[in-house]
Amino acid sequence: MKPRLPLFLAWLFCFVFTAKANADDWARAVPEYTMKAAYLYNFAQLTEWPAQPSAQEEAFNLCVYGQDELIAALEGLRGRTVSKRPLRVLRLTDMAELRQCHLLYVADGEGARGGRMFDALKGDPVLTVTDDPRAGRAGAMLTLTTDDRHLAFEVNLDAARRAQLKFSSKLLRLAKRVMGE
Amino acid sequence: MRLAFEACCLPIKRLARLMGRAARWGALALPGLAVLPAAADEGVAEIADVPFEQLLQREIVTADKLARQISDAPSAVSIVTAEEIRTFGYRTLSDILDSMRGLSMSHASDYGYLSGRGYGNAGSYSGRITLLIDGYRAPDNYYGQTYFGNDGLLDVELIERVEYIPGSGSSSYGDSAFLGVINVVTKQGRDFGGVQASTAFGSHGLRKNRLTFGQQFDNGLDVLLSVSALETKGRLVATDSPAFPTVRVENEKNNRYFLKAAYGGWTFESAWVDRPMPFPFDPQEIDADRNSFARLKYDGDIAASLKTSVDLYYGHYRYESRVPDGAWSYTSGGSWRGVDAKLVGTWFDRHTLVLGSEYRDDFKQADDYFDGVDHFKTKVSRRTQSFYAYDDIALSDKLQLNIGGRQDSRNNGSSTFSPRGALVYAPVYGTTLKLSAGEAHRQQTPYSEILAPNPRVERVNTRELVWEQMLGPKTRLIGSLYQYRIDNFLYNFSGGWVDGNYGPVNSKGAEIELEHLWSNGVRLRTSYAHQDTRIPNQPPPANMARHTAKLNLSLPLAGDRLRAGLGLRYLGRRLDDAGGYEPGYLVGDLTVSGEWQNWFASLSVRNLGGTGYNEISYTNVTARSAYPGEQRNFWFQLGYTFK
Repeated sequence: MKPRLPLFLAWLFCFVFTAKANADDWARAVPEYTMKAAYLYNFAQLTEWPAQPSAQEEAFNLCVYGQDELIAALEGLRGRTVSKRPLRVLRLTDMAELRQCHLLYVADGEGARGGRMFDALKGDPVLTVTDDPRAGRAGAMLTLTTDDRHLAFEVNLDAARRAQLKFSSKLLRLAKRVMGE
Repeated sequence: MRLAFEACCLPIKRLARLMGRAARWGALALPGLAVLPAAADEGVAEIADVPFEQLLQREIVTADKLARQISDAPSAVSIVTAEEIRTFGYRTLSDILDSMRGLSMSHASDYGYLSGRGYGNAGSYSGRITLLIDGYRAPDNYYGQTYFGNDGLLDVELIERVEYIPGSGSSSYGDSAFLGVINVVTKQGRDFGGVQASTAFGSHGLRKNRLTFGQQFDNGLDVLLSVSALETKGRLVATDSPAFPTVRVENEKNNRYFLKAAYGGWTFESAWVDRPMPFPFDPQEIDADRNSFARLKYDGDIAASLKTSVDLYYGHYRYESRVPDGAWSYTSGGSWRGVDAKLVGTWFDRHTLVLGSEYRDDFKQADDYFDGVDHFKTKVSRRTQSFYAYDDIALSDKLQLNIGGRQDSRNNGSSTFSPRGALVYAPVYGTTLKLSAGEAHRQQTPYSEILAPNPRVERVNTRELVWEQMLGPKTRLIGSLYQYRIDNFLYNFSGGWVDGNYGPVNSKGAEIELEHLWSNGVRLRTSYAHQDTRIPNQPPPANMARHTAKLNLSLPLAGDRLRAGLGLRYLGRRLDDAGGYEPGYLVGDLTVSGEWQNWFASLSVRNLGGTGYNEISYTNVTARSAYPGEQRNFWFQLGYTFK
């Protein structure tokens, strides 16, 4: 092999990829977990839970199963409220803790267990969200999908109805897909 | 800008030098490498205040993640994603599998052969390892062979991920999954979002062009259509034959086509490949492999707790050997069709039940040798009716039991049952222990039945203990101990080997793999596999290395714009067919790839250090079946997507 060709190719690389380096495309892009945390916060704001007698006193428990990075990002929402209740982020380690959640997030890769968690909830008013396609099929109410560098979500209305949760029209309008209409 | 330029080009110049001259391993550290810090993030507090409508329009920077297994298999699965295919410059399925724990590829002038747990010599994987393309079983029905190279059905650019599932998958996929399953998931149209054109060239006069259209339309229809053509002049290798001191090998061409259309729960998928190549010892003779399939699949919900999946498929394979004057010819291959239907029910608390049935009609399995005067033909057919069932039972929050099996009944009266059981224990988040055991039976392929009529039915018993440990979110350790025993093992490839039943073949092994992601974007996957395979009172089978090690390291250059991927493959010494040992070898491959706006480019140097080594395949070049591995070679790809 002649050494000139590889050198030429190497230079070609430099021209294609750095000569016109433009930082603008990247400045506005948001890290994935920061965005997912913001979506969860918005989901909570755009969902109506059935009235519960002692609702005013307790915290809004946002439970995360898996994904420590998401928990770290959610820490940035400390001090915020959902339905006038202080937001509390819980890292779920045991199925026994399920019932104290208002929002349950099942992370990518935990789909099989996610399905069992949804089964265990059996219509309890817990908003279930996931970014695992398998947990989505297993009956999560909201499923996050990544589409050409944008975060989108799908809504499963049947699952939400069973749990007596109501989504705002805005949430439904912004969804990529709504199932069970 | 100037800074970024230098950061890019300093290592690139060195890379060019590495390619131009013989590289020393020490130089691989790529000094001068600059990893630029990521741009300062807006905090979640600011992002959460952006109106939701606007938030949806913002692009995200996908976080580095460890790939998670998507198949349910309780064994130690290996995964290669589309991103890794790009980063490490894999050109074929062969390259992908060769980077995986405990696997290695050997080649001959015409085909690639896979070695893994319990199988090693060329052809021994045929009919024992199955390739699934989106669930479709792709091996042909005459040789039972999977095609890994330019003879294979898919361009790797269309692959979303490849999982290798070691151990018997026969309880799910029938007897062709006797020792393992290669599970390939293809991309969707929306992954391309437009028309992508790519061109590639490389050593030995290699040229490849590909045109792909992929789009998801507003009504939900997702279409992926791709065509490609490849041509290479191949290389010269030395042979044992005095009449042919050197021959030209791997001078092949191919044409491929792939179509996938998905709408609602329906998916139509079809692929076709034609690969002609001259026979090394008589370039007038053209040997061609042609593979194709079409399938229609429906996935849907029948009720809240009942899902269904129905799959109709048709496949065809034809091998043809021809000389221009028509003095003789040989064709072989077959056609098959079938329907597979399954139900997934979650009626019972803590149970996920799968019930399925498949009817497969191998309506043509034939060959035809024409000696210039007469045709000598064989033709058979088979029909197989299968039933399978499994139950996934959550015994507790932490313990899961999976049991099931598959019954395959053939129209010749034979019937086999392949059961499997697995316990999955996850005591704490991040720790998973999987203990599995299974038994599978295998019918011979029509080709091996011709070579060894009335063989006893092969049987394998597998046991495996897998430990998966997450050490934080970005570090994963997988350990596996396994024991396989194959009874009535049949070498199903001629060319110097005895055709007939052997056995038992006992394999014991231990494997370990570590994956880690650093916060600066550096990714590492490294593994070591130890295997000990014996046949009582006989020498061990050929091409079974005791030691196999892999290392895959990738790192960003010039911010996120470029990425370097280094792959190292070590294969220990193993027996050749003459009873001698072929020494082990270490081969390194380096790829630098980058994406900028709609452009993509990559430059790969395979066998960077110019290691001289032999692969053990079969006796078509040397009598002891040593086939010279490829010397240092390069490959350059450039692509553009019109959105």
